[in-house]
Order: sequence, then structure tokens, then C-alpha cells
Amino acid sequence: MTAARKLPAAQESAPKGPSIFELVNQGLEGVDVEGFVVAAKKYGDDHARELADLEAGHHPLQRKRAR
Amino acid sequence: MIEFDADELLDALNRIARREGLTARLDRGAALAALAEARWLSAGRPELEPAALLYAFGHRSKDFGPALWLFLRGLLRAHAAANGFELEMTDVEFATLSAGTARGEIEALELRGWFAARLRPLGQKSKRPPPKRPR
Repeated sequence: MTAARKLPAAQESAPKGPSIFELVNQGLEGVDVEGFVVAAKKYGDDHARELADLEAGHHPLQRKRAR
Repeated sequence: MIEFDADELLDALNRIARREGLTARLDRGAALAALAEARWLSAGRPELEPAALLYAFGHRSKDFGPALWLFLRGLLRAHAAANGFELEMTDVEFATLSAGTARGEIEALELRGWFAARLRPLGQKSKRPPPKRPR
């Protein structure tokens, strides 16, 4: 009974790592988020068109950037 | 080792999608199946996990919607870093791999090879030439 009462407290004090949402945000640092957003809106689930545009150099991630 | 919770993963996908104004589909069954497949493909080896995650979620992309790719781009980089690896892959390379995986044109073993050439231990100097700048 004592052990059962102690268990939740031990679990609560265990160190917690970053959430998946925090992990994804960390991983997106330096990524062309805008390019992915434009691509997602342009292609949706149409991966055939996306691949064709990648091969042709017309994908939103390949767009010209202003310097 | 891949220990993501399917509900937390879908919640994070939903939050990223809403923030960026994208569509996400939250299929719990597909998320559980993708995580199980990724665990099986990576066999507990952290260096195989990014490829396994991309394959397992990528060929189910219609169950998660267009927000999946931005989500996976961030997740794979951070997951690799958490396991001590730098993922040397441009956004365009990632888009090519993900679209090919979604179409069923890239198999799990092929993806594993792509990632093996692009994962290096953190702190080790890159052997790849820097990506070309867009003109």
C-alpha cells in the first residue's frame, strides 16, 4: 500500500523531455517554412505534380529569393 | 529509440498545421500503424530512425494531409539531433524524397541508404559540399 502511494509522486518528479511540438519547432530552425507552406497549399496530396515541378526546378522551395 | 505517443504526435501536427494555415488529418489508427512500422524498420538503431519515420509516415501521407511534410521536416532534424546526429539534407532534397515516398517510388531500404549518406555525428566536420545557392 505504501509503495502504491509513493509511485505517483515518483512519476511526477521524473524529468520530462521536450514535447513533440517543441521538438518539431527546434527542428524547423533554419528550414524554409514559407516554402513548405506554399508547396503544401499548391500541391496538397498531388505528389506527381510536386515531383514534376521539382524536376523542372519550379517547386516553391526552389523559387528565386531576393538578395 | 522511437517512443513517440501517437496522440501527442497528432496534437503537435495539428498545432503546426493551424499555426501555418495548413490542412492536417488526424488519423489515430494510421499514426499508430506508422509508429509501429517505424519501430520495426529501425530495429532500435537510432541512426536508422529518421529514414524509418519518413518512410512509415510518408507512404501514409494521405492519412495526415499536406501539413505532414513541414511537420516531418522539423521532427526528423530534431530527432536526429536528439540522438547525436546532424541531418545534412537540403529542403529540396527532403521534398524530393518525401514526394517519391508518398508516390510509392522510394522503398524503405533505399531511403535508409539516402539517410546513411546524410547523417553525421554531431561535432564532426561535413564531407559534403555546401548546397548551391539559388540564383
